[in-house]
Amino acid sequence: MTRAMSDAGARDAVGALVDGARGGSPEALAALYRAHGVALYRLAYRLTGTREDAEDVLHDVFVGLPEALDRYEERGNLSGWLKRVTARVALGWVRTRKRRSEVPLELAGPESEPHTQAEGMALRVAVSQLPQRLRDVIVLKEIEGYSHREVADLLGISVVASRVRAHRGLARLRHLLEDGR
Amino acid sequence: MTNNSFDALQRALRDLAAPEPSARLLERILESRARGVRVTLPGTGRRVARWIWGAIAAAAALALIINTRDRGRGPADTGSPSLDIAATLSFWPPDALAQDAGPPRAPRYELVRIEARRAQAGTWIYRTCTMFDEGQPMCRGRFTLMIREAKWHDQPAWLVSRRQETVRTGAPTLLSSLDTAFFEPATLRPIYAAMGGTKFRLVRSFTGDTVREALDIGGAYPRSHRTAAQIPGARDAPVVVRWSYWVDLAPLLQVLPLERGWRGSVYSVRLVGPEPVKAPFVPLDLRVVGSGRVEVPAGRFECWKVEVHEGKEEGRLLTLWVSKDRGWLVKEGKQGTDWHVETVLLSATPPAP
Repeated sequence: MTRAMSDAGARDAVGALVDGARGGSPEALAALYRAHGVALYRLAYRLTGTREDAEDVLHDVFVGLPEALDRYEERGNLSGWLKRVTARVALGWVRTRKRRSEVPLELAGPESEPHTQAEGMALRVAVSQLPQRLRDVIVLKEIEGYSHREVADLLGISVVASRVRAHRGLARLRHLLEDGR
Repeated sequence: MTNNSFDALQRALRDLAAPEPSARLLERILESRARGVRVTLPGTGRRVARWIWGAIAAAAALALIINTRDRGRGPADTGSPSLDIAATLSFWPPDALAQDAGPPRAPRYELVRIEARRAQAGTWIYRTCTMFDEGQPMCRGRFTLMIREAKWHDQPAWLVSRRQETVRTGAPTLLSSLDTAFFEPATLRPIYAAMGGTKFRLVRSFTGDTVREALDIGGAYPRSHRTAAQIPGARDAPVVVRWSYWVDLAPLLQVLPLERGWRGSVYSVRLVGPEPVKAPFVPLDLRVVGSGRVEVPAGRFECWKVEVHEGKEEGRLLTLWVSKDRGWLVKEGKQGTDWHVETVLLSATPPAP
């Protein structure tokens, strides 16, 4: 009973934020950013491959959010909906601006993340070397945990194509990591 | 990675770390909203099946063929090139193309602030090569950019002029003057810009926030346009003059405070008068996306890599490499679907340090 009440309270709070953001309230938009911004940024970063692109994607998502929320149905999961919107924006971003072929700044420069230990770094580099069509599926399916049906919807491909690309992507990653030893 | 089986790989991928956004991102988002920037986000519904798009494309192609059959119709109005085009189409009345372009798109970033004292006179010679997929590069273009201290009505000004040389096999080199423009030194706003050759001449005069345009076209249907329009943005913000997709950013780059993560927007002015369906003022969004050492015939330069976009819909316009010490445009790239145009610095006066 208590849990049901607290769930209802959380839904009300989210609903109030959504209503506030729809109405153009900067405070509501900022609250939504604080609640979801980091997860969405990481998704955008993994799809675009650079911090600058990820920041621009997130900028676009939140700048467009008040108007886009008109299409959001309250019964849905806001976090999932935001992730789908962010993924679409990031994928569109990558397609209109071909991914840069050079190593991204954060991999090459001295400002690398402290947690990027050797194995994690090797895996990140390997993911960044995947062809875009395989990389998109690997990021969405294996890192973000979408189902093949959801990946297929996001990328505009069939479920079978999503499965095939995931398998090929993993095989390519394994090959890249073995080559890099 | 000690065990690269698929299961281990999948676990490692799920644990893969990613950075957090910069502390200023939320502030940037709220600033953009406050400035009136709006972005239309894609829907999250299922995508339309590909065959539907195919059917739409086929219908559009059919309509285009029907519309563009030659019916021997002459120009309806020699006062407007766009109406001339409309007059040759069957279904589209000329009035349909004589519509306003609507308000200009809001700049993506804050308008750039310049460090005017960094501007410098000199001569820069560039070579332009076009590369198609799987083909040899064609290097037939060479242009010279000259920046001089000058006077405009007794006031100090920068005089910027460009000259094009087209190298043709077995034929003399073609020399043509591309444009001449005067700029206010403190703001780098244009005062006067003229360009053209035998078939047309375009002169633009700038006063305050107003541009007055005079376009004279020769040929079979000679015509003239006189138009004035108000330039958006602050009156002391720099403005870039452009012609269609050609845009000269070199003088502006000298005075931009480029650094890692730098972003800024600048309004560009294209044809104001006879292209009513195209926005005359288009913000160009610039951002530093990297840095590195670039070697060109003029020497080796430590550079900022700057991307120039003109709205999300139209994608990346240019990729520039700008020298860190003097703000010189060292290399410029423009990417098409199956071609790439690259411009590199051949020589500079004063010489590279």
